[in-house]
Amino acid sequence: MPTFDASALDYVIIAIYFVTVLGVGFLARSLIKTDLDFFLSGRSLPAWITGLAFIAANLGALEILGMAANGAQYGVATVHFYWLGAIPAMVFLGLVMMPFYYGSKIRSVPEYLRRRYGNEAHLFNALSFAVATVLIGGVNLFALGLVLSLMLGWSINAAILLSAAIVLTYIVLGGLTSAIYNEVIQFFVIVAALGALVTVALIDVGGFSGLADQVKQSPLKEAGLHAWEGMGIGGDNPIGADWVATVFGLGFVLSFGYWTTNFAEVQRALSAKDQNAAQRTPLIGAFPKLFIPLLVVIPGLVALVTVKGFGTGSADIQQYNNAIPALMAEYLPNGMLGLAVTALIASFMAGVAANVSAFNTVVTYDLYQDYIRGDAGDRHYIWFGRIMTVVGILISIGTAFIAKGYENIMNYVQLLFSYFNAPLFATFIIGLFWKRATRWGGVAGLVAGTLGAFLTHLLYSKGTISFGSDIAADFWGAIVAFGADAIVTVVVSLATQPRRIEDLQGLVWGMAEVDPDADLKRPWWQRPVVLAVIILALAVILNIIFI
Amino acid sequence: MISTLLDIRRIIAGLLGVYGVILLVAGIVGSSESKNKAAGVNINLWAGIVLLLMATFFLVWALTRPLMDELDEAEAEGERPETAPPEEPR
Repeated sequence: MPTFDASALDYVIIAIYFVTVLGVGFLARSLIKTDLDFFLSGRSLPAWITGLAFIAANLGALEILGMAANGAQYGVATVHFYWLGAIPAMVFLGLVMMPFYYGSKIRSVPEYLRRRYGNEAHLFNALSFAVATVLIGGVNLFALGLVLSLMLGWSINAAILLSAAIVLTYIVLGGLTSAIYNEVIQFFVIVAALGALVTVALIDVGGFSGLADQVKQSPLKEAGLHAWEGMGIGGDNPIGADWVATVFGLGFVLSFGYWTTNFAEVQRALSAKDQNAAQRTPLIGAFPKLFIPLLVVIPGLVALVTVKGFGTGSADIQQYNNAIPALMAEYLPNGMLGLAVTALIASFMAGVAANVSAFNTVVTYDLYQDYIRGDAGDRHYIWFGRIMTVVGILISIGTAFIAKGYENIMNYVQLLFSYFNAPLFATFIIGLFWKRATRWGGVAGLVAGTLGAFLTHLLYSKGTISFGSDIAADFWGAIVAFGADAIVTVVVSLATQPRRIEDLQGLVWGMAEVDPDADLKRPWWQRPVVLAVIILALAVILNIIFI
Repeated sequence: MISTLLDIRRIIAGLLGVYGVILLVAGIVGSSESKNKAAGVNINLWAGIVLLLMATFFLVWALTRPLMDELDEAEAEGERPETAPPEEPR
């Protein structure tokens, strides 16, 4: 990674950001009266705030650097991670699942499983989520330390400890509200910085047509400019995955698992002020998500065509993950450089904060309150949540170094998701649409799905089975996990006692707690169905343009 | 008072505004090397202008629809359905 000539001006810009996020934490502290205020912002936020936080929580630096790496390595096909791997799932969450999440007044995603299936599935999910969340937080933290040490010459330990201390402070003080507010702020800083970088990079390579001409001359060739070329069975495309693996593995299992059951995301929607705002949260987030590929794929491609030996050489600056830092060093003068570094730091911190704020909520509500101490007052749970914030950060710091052994950080994160999220979606979707699914079916399916993902990965890494690429292996691992979970859930459910129908009120399809007229009284831009149609139409049009 | 300070639109306006001014000044007084580094574009100047426009947008939004009004409206919205009061005869 290139080292920047950061000046005092750049450090002033970084320092202003740190002061701002800490200030938000201090202000948000005054709003906390009940445990719901601390863990879910008192369910009071307007849709535009939760919607931007929803997308910002996902716009961590791992995502930005990883997707720019994919842009350089796989070309335009990277858009599948957005238009196929995010948009449909976000629309599904808003339209179909949110009425059950928000309408049943659950406070976390595992809590849905407790109400729908019972304690066994709940405990399994709450524990595995807590573990996965701090691991991912740790990955973010490690990557942050690495980037700062390489870019600014800081000590890696100092960078990790400083950013961990800042996140710790503002979450302990202001809980979810300060996490969400800082995510919204981070969103605008990132868009401003990446927007400037992309504009300059495009001007330098001669605009879109200049970039396209040069990509054709690059190792990616013509295929690097198309999303769907070579996606036929047995076909050859840069990602190394055919359309079956891409559509079902990424577009269905991985993506729906991530967006609809990952509490670090869903928590933002649960903090919205009413059900309409909760439904609109992922839909409002989907609009920026449609256009984020512009901000990450283009830097990847520009790095590919302007940096000599990019992706093939062994120098730091030639590594795929360093596409964006390489362009920052190349193009940005002091001042703008400080803002871009701030954007990267901000997105790393937001990634850690999103995971830690989800972790403290699940540990407090789903483990401590449900199984250890259920009769304490608000102040006790707020206190416990603050302690768990500290614990979560400490574990994240401790586990940060697991990430060291992996070449492409994005693949590592996908791997974690295929263990924990992919099977989860099968359990949710079956529980939501099939009243017959039982208590034991739920937990057996979860265990089978997690084992399925784990075994697929084990066999692949030992070389027993092979797929087109690491990414294709993740896609197939997710498909196997989903299939194993679904089959075991159905078989075990049919062999065990169904739940009483009265217990499923508000939790299964056809029994949602909704006011069917509520949305019709609103203007069109506040109606989830209308927003969903616009988003899906835009996604289809974009896919056709880049076919 | 606290809730006015906590209006996220004001915080965004403040942060982007400060960044905008800093970059604008850097774009005006900077060395010719820094003005040309970005493929010949004075990116500090242009980014400063765009940031100031964004800050202005959030400030205007926050001032024209203060938080208290929004809260009142939200409450009114919640109460409106079903039983609208009968219109007063003139």
